[in-house]
Amino acid sequence: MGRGKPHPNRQQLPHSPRLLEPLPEKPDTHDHTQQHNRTHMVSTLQSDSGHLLEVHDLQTHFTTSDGVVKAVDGVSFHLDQGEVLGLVGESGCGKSVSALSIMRLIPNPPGEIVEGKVIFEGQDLLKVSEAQMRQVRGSRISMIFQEPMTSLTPVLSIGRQLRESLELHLNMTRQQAEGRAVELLDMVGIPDAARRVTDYPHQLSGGQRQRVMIAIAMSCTPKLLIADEATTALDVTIQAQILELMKDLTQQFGTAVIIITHNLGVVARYADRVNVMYAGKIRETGRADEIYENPKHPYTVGLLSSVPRLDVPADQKLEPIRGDVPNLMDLPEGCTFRDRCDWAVDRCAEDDPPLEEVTPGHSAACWEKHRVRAHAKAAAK
Amino acid sequence: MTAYIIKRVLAVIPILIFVGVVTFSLVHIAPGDAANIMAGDYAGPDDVKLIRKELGLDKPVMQQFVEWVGRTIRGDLGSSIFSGISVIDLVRTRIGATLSLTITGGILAVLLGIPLGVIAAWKAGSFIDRFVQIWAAAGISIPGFWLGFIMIWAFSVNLRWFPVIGYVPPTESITDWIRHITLPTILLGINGSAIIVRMTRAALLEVFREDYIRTARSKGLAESAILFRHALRSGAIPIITVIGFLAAALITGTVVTETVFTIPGLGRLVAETVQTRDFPIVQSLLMLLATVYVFVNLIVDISYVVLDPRVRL
Repeated sequence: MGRGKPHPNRQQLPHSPRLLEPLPEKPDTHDHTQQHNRTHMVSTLQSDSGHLLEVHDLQTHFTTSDGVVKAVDGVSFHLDQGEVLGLVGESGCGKSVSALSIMRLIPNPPGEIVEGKVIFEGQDLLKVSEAQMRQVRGSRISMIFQEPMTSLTPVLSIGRQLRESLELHLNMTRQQAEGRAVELLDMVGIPDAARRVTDYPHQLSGGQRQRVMIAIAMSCTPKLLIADEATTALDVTIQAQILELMKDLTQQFGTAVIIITHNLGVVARYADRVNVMYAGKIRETGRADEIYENPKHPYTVGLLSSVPRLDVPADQKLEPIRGDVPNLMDLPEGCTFRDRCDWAVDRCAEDDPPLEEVTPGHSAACWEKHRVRAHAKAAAK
Repeated sequence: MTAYIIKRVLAVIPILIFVGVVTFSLVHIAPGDAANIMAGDYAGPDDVKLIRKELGLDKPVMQQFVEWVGRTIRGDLGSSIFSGISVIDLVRTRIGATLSLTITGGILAVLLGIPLGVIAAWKAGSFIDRFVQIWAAAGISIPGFWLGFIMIWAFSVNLRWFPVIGYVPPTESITDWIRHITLPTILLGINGSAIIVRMTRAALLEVFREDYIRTARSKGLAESAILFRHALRSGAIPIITVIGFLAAALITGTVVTETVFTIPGLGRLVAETVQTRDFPIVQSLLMLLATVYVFVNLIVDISYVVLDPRVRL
């Protein structure tokens, strides 16, 4: 984790053999279609650029009594091994739904992934069976959630909840798992781990619970960790500790991370690249420092200027983004941000701008992207 | 944990004192008394007065209460005003039938209620869920005496599968015992299962929305592990609580069920003695049933500690 670290981009091929092998099956069931599928899988593997995760045109919709909410509406991005990606945006912009879609944890009904591909280690997770998906969850991809106070089962000891993953994915015996659980608690900095392992979640503080969540998430050395607002509910001092812990462990294990947050400070410090989401779409993507220094989408500019900064004179007023997130059930034609935008032109009402490259590796979805500058809202008028 | 249990056990004492006061007051507030009924329709006021004096009903209520409490503590539960049979003897001859019914009915209610509630919650909104919900609504709203008569009409009178009335203790004949208690057990079980189904379904639906269920899914656990290890244990407290209420439902249920099926149990004894204002018996029976209920709920309270670590404060 951390900027400036080279990503072992191309080293990833050949992939970990574990997932490539067909999941346990009787040999006589290997008929032609499966053979075909496997060759097909290998060929996609070889044809792609070796990203750990590739999301293509992901669309997740929720059907409510009032209509269809397009929570994620055509999201595409990729992530390399060991890389840290920030997913930023206001509440309801589709960041969490994107993450839950990757894990296939969207409650259905009302939610449904209607379109797209989630290619993880060469395998489209949206096509595998539920049983195969369960072998990925918690083992190859794990997730940490926002609410440490409610994310652990209250009636089971933390040791029991740790053991569960170890016994399930690593086929450990109870004794092995018990020993490993103590080591894991120790690893995430729970003092006196051997004694605390029998504690129940309510006996731990919020920060400690989030440490336990991290221990569970990292217990099977996943290739991808999704941290969904993992520190938002914690005290600021604890936030930093938890972020540093995540950074250390994921670096040590070579785990890629998707940090979902609305905190741009967290992104600036920990993410290599950033996707800025708005109303179910990625509106800007690029290297974290690039996005921070040279934002090209008015929404990103708005996010940045609504955060207090030390490098800007204190008497300069913060400029919150005016208006509200549009109703996802009834999105306007054209650019969905135009009603809140200082740079909007006539064209924005007609055509939705596509995500286009500004400089290599930095793209924005805005017709006026070449005019957009940070701290220059007044100049836009 | 021990402190919690001791606290719960001690809390039983004031509850039982309160129950005693209420029981005694209710019997004395109720209009009409045994003397009136014993004297018959043609008796003059003097006759009634005489009988009342004999029964000790002319003493002040407070004095009657103190005397009653004193006797009860000494283990003298009194005897019937009419037949002179002691309450202990009456209870001894009739408790077998009532225990048979409440225990089998309770077990049936739990065995039906929890699985149906779990299935309904797990498949919420499905056809099975609808069916279970209709089952629960019917079980709660259909009066026991009506359903009882329908069952007697269908299975005893028409199909002749079961005897119409009566009770045979298991010590006499196991098969006859089973034949006699089957219909009453089903009747009590259906009514009892309805509340358990509702509570189980509601408790689980609430638990399914919890963050930790999502965490369990994100760990790759199978649905069965999520359901039984994480969800059912977390939702156990409301379910166990409602099983405590079930004890009350079964006790009141026996009054109706034993009357409908003409079973000589405690329930019918309550009904008969209330009608004749046979207070010594009514008071002692109510005290006994209330005590059973209080102790069932004491067990429920203690089971919380075992089931939910958060209660161990």
